[in-house]
Amino acid sequence: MVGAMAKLVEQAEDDGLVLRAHTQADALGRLYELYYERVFRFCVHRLFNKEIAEDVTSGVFLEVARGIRRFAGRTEQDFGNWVYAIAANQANAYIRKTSRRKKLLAEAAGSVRACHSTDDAPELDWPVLYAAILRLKPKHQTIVTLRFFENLSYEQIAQILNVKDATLRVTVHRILEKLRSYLRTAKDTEA
Amino acid sequence: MFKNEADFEKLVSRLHIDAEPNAAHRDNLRRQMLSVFNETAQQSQKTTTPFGVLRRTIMKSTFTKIAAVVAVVTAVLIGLNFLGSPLGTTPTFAQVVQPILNARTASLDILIGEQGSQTVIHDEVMGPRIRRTVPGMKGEAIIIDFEQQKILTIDHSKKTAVYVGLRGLPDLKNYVEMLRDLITRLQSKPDFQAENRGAQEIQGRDCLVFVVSAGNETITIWADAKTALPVRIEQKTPNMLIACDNLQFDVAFDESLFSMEAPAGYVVQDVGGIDFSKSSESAFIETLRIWAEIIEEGQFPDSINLENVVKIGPKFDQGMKRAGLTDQQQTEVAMRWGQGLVFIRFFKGQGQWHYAGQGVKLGDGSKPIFWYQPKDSQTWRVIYGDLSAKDVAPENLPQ
Repeated sequence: MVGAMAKLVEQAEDDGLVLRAHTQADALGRLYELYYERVFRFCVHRLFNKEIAEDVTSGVFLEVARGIRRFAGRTEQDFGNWVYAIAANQANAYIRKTSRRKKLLAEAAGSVRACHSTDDAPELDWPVLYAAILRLKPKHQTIVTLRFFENLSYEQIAQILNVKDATLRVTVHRILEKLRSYLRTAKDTEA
Repeated sequence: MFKNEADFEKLVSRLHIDAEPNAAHRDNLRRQMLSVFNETAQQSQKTTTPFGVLRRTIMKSTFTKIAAVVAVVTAVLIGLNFLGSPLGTTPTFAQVVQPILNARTASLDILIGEQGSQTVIHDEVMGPRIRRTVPGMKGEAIIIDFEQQKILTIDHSKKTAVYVGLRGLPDLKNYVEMLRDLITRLQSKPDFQAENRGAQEIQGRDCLVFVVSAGNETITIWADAKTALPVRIEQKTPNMLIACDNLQFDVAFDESLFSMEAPAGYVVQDVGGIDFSKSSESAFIETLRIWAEIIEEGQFPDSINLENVVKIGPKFDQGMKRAGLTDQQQTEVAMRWGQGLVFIRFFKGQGQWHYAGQGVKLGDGSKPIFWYQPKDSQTWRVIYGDLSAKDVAPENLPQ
């Protein structure tokens, strides 16, 4: 009960925080503290290179600084959705260049390792999977990152990407089908 | 190979990715961000939007229709307001209104604002439906159905059809029906006064001019001197000037142009409704907040008159883009903005309202921006630049 009350108070304070951040630097600074790590982690999971992730994260928060006065959202959740949407756009803009894509592929292959399976999960060939993810449309890549790397709920992703929940679920189903198909092709080529 | 979503989740969870942030980057970026935030505060006071940029934004935007739909909703109120006013009758005046009493269809232009900067809305009326043309919405068909209490906006270029509900409307049918009811009702009133001002030429036609006054309102009607057909009606109140021009009655229209069905294959969207029965100060304050914060970049508009409202679509659209709103948020904001306007369109206070927000920045609690006297109240309500509202004695009202 006390915990629930504390959460409500915290939520109310946070809601006021977004409105105050329109005009007050300290409120914006507080929002930054709350979201820096989430945005940075999203960028790392999207780009698999910490340096590039830092650059993109910088771009995100500078855009926030320029746009916060006109931001119409009122709650912390509105702010979170807005920030994620900016981060998704900036990461997509980065990846769109083919040259950068190749670099990302090479980086991702080296920087990430998969631990051995302790259950009945399938074996993972990470570089192949990442190459397959990069073949998806940018928006679909964002969905993969938000859903499977950031573990956000369907509801929140739908709000960030401004799509219907049901549509998102169907899209995820199709994305996984596509990834399976890409992986199958990669396996056949290898064989 | 993974089999399903749960499988894929497990697969990703086994990845070891170093996503630990660098403290130096975090601190530097914080400083940089706050510096940009402070610079933006200074720049935003100086920034103006070149017309070309505005126009490009409008043309590219997929959301123009949302803001425009709100303008259309407001335009509905213009008609209602206009026709809700008293008219007079004399033997000559009876001749003038006869075509209105007999008409089944009508075509007219509604002009809002002072001459020279007028906004023109063209209406074609058939039964309970109006087919409306609004400036800035070229290529879009707007049908208003008073029976269904809905507006349908069809964008043929984008193949979209958007419905907006009009909840809480009084029991109205259309202009012609309204005029008919109004004239019949007023003809039985003993206290009306109408003045014949003689002849005047408008648009190359010799017209007879009738002026009817009641309370704060003045209505002027021009009728063709030869045919006695009304060609123009003008209504002036303390807060607006609306004219009804180029009136024609019993025009032959193609009925299919008034259909409320979305064409086959079009994407249909229902964006909710505006409730005209709800008219509150708090809803109006929210409208002012949206106006200053999103549309005018932190400053209250120069004017909140109807002509500004009807022309606001493009500016609203641009503001929404700047604010980085999602489609859903844009719709909600546009509807909230429209809902609050009901307060001034169906103003229920005593006398008139006053607006003085020109040049006032949002958040400036020292400057009054709007005041009015609620019905049966001895004091006035004053809304300030920080959107607080207080009761104020008449002697302490802003000058």
